[in-house]
Amino acid sequence: MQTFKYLLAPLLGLVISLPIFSLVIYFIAQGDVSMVNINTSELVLYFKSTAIVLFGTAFLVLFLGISTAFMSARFIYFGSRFFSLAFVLPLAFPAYILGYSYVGFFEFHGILATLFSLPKFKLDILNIYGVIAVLSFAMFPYVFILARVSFASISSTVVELVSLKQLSFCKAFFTVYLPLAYPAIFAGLVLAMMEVLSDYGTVAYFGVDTFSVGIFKSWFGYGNLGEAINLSIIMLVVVFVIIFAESRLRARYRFISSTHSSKKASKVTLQGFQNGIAFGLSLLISTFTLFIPTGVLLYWFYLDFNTLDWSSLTYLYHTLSLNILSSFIIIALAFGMVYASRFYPSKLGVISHKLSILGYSIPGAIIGIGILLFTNFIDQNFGKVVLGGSFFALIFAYLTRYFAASIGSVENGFSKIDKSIDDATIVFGTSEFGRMFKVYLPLMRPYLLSGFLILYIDLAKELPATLLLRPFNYDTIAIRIYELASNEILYKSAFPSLLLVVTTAIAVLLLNSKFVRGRR
Amino acid sequence: MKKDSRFLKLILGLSLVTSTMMASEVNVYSHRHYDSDKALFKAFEEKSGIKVNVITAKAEELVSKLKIEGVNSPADMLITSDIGNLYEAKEEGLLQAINSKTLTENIPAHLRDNDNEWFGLTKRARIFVYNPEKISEKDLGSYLDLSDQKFKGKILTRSSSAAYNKSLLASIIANHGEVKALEFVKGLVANFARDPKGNDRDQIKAVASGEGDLAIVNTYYLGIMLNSKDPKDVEIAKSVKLFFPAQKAEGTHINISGAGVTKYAKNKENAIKLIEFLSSVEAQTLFAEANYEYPANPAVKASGTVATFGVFKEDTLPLAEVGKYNKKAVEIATKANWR
Repeated sequence: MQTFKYLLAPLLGLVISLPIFSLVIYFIAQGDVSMVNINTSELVLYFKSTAIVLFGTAFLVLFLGISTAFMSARFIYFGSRFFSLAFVLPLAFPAYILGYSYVGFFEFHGILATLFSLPKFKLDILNIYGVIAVLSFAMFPYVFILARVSFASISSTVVELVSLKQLSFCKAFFTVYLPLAYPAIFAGLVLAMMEVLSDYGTVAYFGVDTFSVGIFKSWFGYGNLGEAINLSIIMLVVVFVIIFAESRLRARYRFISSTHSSKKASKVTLQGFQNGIAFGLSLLISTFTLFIPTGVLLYWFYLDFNTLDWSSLTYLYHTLSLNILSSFIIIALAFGMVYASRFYPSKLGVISHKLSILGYSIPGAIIGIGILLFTNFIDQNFGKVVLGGSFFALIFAYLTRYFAASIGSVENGFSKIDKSIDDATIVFGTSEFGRMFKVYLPLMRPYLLSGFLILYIDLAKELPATLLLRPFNYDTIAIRIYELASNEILYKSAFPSLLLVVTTAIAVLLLNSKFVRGRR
Repeated sequence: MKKDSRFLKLILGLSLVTSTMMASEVNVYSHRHYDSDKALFKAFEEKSGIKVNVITAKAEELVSKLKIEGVNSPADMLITSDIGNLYEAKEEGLLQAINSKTLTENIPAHLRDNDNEWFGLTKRARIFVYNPEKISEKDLGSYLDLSDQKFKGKILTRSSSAAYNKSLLASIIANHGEVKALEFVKGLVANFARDPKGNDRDQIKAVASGEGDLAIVNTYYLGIMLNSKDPKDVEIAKSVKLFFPAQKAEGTHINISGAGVTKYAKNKENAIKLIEFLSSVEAQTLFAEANYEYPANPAVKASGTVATFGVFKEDTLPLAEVGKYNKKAVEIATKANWR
């Protein structure tokens, strides 16, 4: 029994990465590791563009994510409650919709030109800078959500120490608060970066050749799925090495702030100039990340209002039911995995943990292929279709692809629980079940909820895996948006896009007010 | 109470009738995601009592999916929105030959497979859209002319990995040979006004804004913009002109949306019935009117916006030839740095 407990985390990791293993097996079975169609200069180009996009986005995501999280968690200022919601919402936009709406805003005869009667004006954003901006606007909420929870749980003792030592704001921020939130910030950044790596729609539209464009060029251009898988695996190995190296590095940064045993610092109410700065910065960020794209969608919605297609509501129902179920399963498994790794740690567990989050960095369509290979292998052994085309396959794909999105917040939560609580539960002989559900689950609630929230939003806009794996006639709202957008009738995609944003907003509001906020 | 139970029986009876009616079905993998297609499937369901189940995804994905699923695939029918992937599906042995007099009658020979494994359903013409203030119609000719120096810095098009560009290039290879095709693409790339990016609609906008003078696009995007509810789209579409290339040569390149029955179709007869329906006058009329495509069935004439584009000479090169050179096209585009 005890050995089994030690095997739990590795086993979970193994199951979650099964589709990736299927790809690796396919890679080996093909026996062809040569990249026949991709030449070196192309590979160099892919790596170069990918690196520029990654670094650019990382920089902007960190700036936007950290500043908003800190303001929202530590200060009360004009509109701060509103902004703490507004900073999450950009996550509700699929990145390519954000891209389309920005093009619609800045293009020739675009909305900006019309608003200010500038017949000749246009700002060409279809380039690498445009990609960096759009992806950062879409991804910064990952850092915001995770870092905010962390900043909000800074204990009053820390704040008192800072004021005793009379540290300047900058010094306190960079030497005390920022390092305390480092695990959360990093977890958010990893999510953002992996999603940037896997993005295909936005970069292809903006004409930037990243690695994922190379993957799809092999598959869609040369019809060579094998080569596309080979390229994905190269990317996976690189990501795996980076994640592993980083976790080594992070081991040195272990900060366990005993947040649950001491009082949390209360928020500071800003006055006068400071109030103005916080408000101004928040307004600026929200204008670019939320108000402009929402405004564009609302304008398109207005154009389409008379012939609105209400069938989008059916798609919305599909999205909601599938999402809630999948998010619940994924977050439960993430909790199980981190719990098992904490109490029954093993080297194998660490490796399989890192493996299990890799799915987030490769394009969803490739994960979809991994699932197809896997389910088809099972189906062939049964001699009939058992798994193919079922919800099981789809939810499995979500699990592999989005496990990383949930485990970051769960890990971050567990890292905030003092080890002395672990010892106490052992000393008091609490049963495994009691320990898990009565001690850790309540302590972890805010983190589980923000993990659930991120998953929910991610899954709501998930497209490539859903496109490939959903059962017949089961279209989600993201699929509806894709259909309309790929027909290049952009204004028609406004209604489903807004529906998506509104449902996510409702979820954010609910979680924000009732549970997560209540615990602070 | 009695009324209630009678009502219940009625519902039960009705649902029984519909369920037996719907007992037969057909499973479609489709790359077309137009609302007009949904309307057509609905019309077919009402007419035949056969339920149409659909999964839409990108053509390359659907082909890969069919390949991996093999004999277990639930799909009976594949619909793609260009010839390349349909051809690929046949080459991979994912389709089967069907014998249908209706289809051979409705669809002209150059728009269907020699072995009857796939059939064209709609046609798209890949044409030039140009700025009449910058370019005179008499300067325009065939696709190959676009490599002429006089177009330096003037041409706009999307990436070569777009299926429509691949097929256009494949048709040039088929018509003029590889050497000429490579020479053409090199010249074309040298004449680009900017790096390829955006979709067809963005190319039309770039012509209107003066970023370039001529774009290679499909006709129906112009149709969509002309009928847009966004007044700016309409204004832009009206400010540019359309030109059918290669009228004095092979004719304007056309691509197709097409369909085939999958190798392991469990509902083969239903799939054939659906394709036959889609080739019928009734369905073809809707294809043309709702999505501004050209009907594949010659009995149906283009109408509305599509008719205003005018009559033109089509390239009647068998589309199988275009499919054959699709991969070569990607190779040549890469060699000539058409990203």
